[in-house]
Amino acid sequence: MLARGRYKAGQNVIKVDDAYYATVVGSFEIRERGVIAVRALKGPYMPKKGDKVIGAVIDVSMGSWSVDIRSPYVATLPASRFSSRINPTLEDIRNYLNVGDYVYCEIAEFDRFHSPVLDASISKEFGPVKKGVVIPVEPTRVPRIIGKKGSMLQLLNKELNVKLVVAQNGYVWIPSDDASKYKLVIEVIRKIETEAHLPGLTDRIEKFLKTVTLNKDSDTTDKQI
Amino acid sequence: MSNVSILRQKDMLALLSSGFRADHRKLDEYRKIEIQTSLYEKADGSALVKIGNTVAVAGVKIEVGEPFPDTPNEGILTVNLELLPHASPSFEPGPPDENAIEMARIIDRGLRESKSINYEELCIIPGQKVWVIYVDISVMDHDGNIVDAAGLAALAALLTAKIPEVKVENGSITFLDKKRPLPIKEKPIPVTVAKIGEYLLVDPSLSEEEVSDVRVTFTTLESSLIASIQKSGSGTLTEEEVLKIYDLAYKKAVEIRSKLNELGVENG
Amino acid sequence: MNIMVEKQLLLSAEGIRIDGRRVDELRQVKMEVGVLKNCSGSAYIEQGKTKIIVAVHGPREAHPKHLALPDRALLRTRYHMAPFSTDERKSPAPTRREIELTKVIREALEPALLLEEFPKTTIDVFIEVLQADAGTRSAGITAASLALAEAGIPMRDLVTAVAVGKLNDRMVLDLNEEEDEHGQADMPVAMMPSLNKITLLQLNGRLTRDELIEGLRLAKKGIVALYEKQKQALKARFKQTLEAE
Repeated sequence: MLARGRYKAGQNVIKVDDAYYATVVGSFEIRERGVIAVRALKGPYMPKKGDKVIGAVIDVSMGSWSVDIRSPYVATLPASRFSSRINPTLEDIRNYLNVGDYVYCEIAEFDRFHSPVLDASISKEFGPVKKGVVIPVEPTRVPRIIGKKGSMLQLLNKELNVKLVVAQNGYVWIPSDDASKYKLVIEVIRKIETEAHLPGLTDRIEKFLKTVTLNKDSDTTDKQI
Repeated sequence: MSNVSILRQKDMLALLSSGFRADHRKLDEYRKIEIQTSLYEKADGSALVKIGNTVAVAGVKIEVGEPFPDTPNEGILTVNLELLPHASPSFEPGPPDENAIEMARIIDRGLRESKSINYEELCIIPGQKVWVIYVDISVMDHDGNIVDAAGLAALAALLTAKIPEVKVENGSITFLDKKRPLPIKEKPIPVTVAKIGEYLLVDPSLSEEEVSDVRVTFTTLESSLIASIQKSGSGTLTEEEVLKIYDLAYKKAVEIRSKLNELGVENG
Repeated sequence: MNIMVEKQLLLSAEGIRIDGRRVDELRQVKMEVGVLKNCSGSAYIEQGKTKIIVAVHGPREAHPKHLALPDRALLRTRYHMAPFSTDERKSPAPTRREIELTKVIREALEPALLLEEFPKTTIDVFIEVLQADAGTRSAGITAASLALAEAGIPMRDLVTAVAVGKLNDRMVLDLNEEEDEHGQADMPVAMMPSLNKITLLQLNGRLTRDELIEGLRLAKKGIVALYEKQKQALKARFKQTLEAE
């Protein structure tokens, strides 16, 4: 039980009689206007229209791909939403994306009665994931990895010299072929995941990154000598 | 629950607030109970019970068999229940599903825990041969509250069952012409109560069952002892409700038992 | 026969049981959350010598599609005993007991889950008894709640369960196997402790009305203690969780 009295039930909170209960394991927050909410520590990703996601192709049919976006619902990417130039009746769409490939796209449609529909054609940033690696993260931690107004992501990109892509459904794509970056990125991401709820996260991550990159520089200097 | 059930629950609750049910019964009233016994000659005991439109038939077959290794001098009772496809468009032919199994086990526990049957009296040759009592219940028509009808049928069939007299000589069993009644001491009566909203309804009909979230079956004995409890359905109960249901169930069991006695359904 | 003698030993005149416990004492319990990697949620429980592991998969798309419910998730459970879990080897095929327990366990967990949040999906709960020493359905329910919570499935409350019994005409808490076999009654109870609602109630044995009341009181006591342990196990799994309870 979280509280009793005159509040409003926010995310992950239900009201029974005059008491408020958390429905998931998470961190308790009191937001503005007396809204109590719980930020879940772990949970399935629920698709939302407009979310940018990375999915794995699990099946191919005549005019569309079935894509696993790590949610309770399997998504569909119609060929027409991959590129307007494809004609599925004339060509085999497996030439563009096959089972096992990752694709970065946006959730174009989703409601309680239909499976999510994806779109990879509305922006140049979308499309098949061809280089680099994709690492899974807890979907509930994504907001922290991005940070307020993207501040955390900006910091990571700057200090690590990468252009990370963070998908709402719990993936971080490192679009670099430089294997030395992977280990570091993973370490930082995991640190953010475990310390997400502690205050001053951005500062601590900044400090951590600076010490790590310093070490790297000193390594290279040693080698030169 | 689908939209249809919610509507019906709303209607049901409106009706219940006036103290009556869709079929004009009071909350603590059973439908008409009919008991017939000894219908099928090839069974050693049989009974047909109707509670309203719900019909269950129980047949008892008594055979010679081997005792369980850990109870070498005791007879065996086994209860099986089948929901015949006749009873409802939603019953499929095939082996018993979880509902049929649950009901059979509720009735089995009621009979077993009440110690109605003296298993040692069912021993023929200690360690080798005992009487095995098969109680098979076939549910023919489902209009709610199968458990009570089936349990009552099983009890009535056992009370009127006849077990052959045998002579044991030099390890061989000879069947004599005489038969005697099964030694049954207690008459456990299962009573099911459904909860809809805050209302407790005895002997739920099919539509009441479908709309209820919880049902509880209490099997009680003449002495008011509880021989079995089973909460069924995905709803919840408070402790007070549990006790209220027990009091209701015991009261109704007494009434049903006297009806059974009235019909002369006794041992022999 | 030996049974008479054993019954004397089950509960001494001073109210001490064969394993040294008093009538209102739980067996030693250990709970761990997040023990398996390839599922949405998992938990392991030891209660006395009973050992059970639970895995949750889902919410995931319903297969076959016709099973899907349009407005909520479908909860499926399976209670199963490993062949090596009992004194005599148990055949892996589901027995009638396992089928009944699968049903009552599902009905004990369902009221706690907010299934409407995930329409047209299934949530599968698999309970495997690795070592059986009585109280398996109760411990299974207690562990299943943890696995469901770890999977992030929204719940009204955890579900906590314990079995009470009757030895030498006295009600006792948390039977072990010997007490279950030779005792006079076995009554498993499951509750949503914060909401004070019973979600599982069965009786195997004979009780008077007063014994029923005492049994429920003892069960509640045991459940409250186990609930604390469940919460601790979840906290440990999520380490520095800020849970305002």
